[in-house]
Amino acid sequence: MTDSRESEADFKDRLHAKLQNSGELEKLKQTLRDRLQECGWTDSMRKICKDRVRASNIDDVSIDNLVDEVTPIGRDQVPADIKNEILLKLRAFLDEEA
Amino acid sequence: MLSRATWVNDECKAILDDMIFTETLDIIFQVHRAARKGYLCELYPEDNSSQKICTELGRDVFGHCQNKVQKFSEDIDCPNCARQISTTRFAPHLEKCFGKGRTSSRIASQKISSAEFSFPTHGGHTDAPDDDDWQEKKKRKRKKDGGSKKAKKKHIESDASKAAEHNREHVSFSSSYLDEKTSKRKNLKKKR
Repeated sequence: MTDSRESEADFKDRLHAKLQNSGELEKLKQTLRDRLQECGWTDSMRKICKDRVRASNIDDVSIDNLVDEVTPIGRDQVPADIKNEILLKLRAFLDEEA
Repeated sequence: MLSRATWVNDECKAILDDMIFTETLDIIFQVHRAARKGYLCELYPEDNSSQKICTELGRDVFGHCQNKVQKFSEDIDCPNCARQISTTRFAPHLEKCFGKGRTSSRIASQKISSAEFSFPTHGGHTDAPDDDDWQEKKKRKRKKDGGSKKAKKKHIESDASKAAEHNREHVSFSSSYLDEKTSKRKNLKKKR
């Protein structure tokens, strides 16, 4: 159903809802988790967090600090082929809506 | 429509970013909680050397020494014969060396009695009658190899007690005292 008056935001919400309700989002999340574990990304991230915590006193380290420091590193470290795989699957599912 | 395609693309990228962020948060929560509760070391141990396989010669994969038999005991110098004896064998060796054991006291008392017999006979027949008896007794012991252990033991003990009693008159005070003790012990055993 193509409604040209539908705003971008609504459209995107609709896409997201479709993913969620069909269970495809959960499936893809699990796929991503498995791929990251296989390629060693999760272990690498754990080590980085652990080193960060050990470097400074635990009382100084808060969740926010860790998030601010570690998130960009994590994003860069994900291998490109895993990103592409998930993107392709997402597009394949959502292209029906376009 | 072109705009929708780009919307779809954007949305996919956003969703992917979101998913990666969720995974990162998961790990951060785990590590942070472990650090706060104090079990960070146990949760993600430093696997530097603990999991490496040891390839050294003469050691197994865990790095333990291959030779199970290790000489841990130091040798002790015997004060009597001045030999190096292993600690585990030291006490029995002393027993034989000093002549306090069952066999050595018997042999010693036999020798003493035979020496006393030969002494009055000037250079004559030096073999004492006791020695012949001893040889006969030995032969009898060997012949009885098929017999039971108990019968053997009783035979030996009876010989020993007989010899001990016979020699009591001839030997010095200390060895006779020992013989008395051993014969008393044997009698107790026989009674049992």
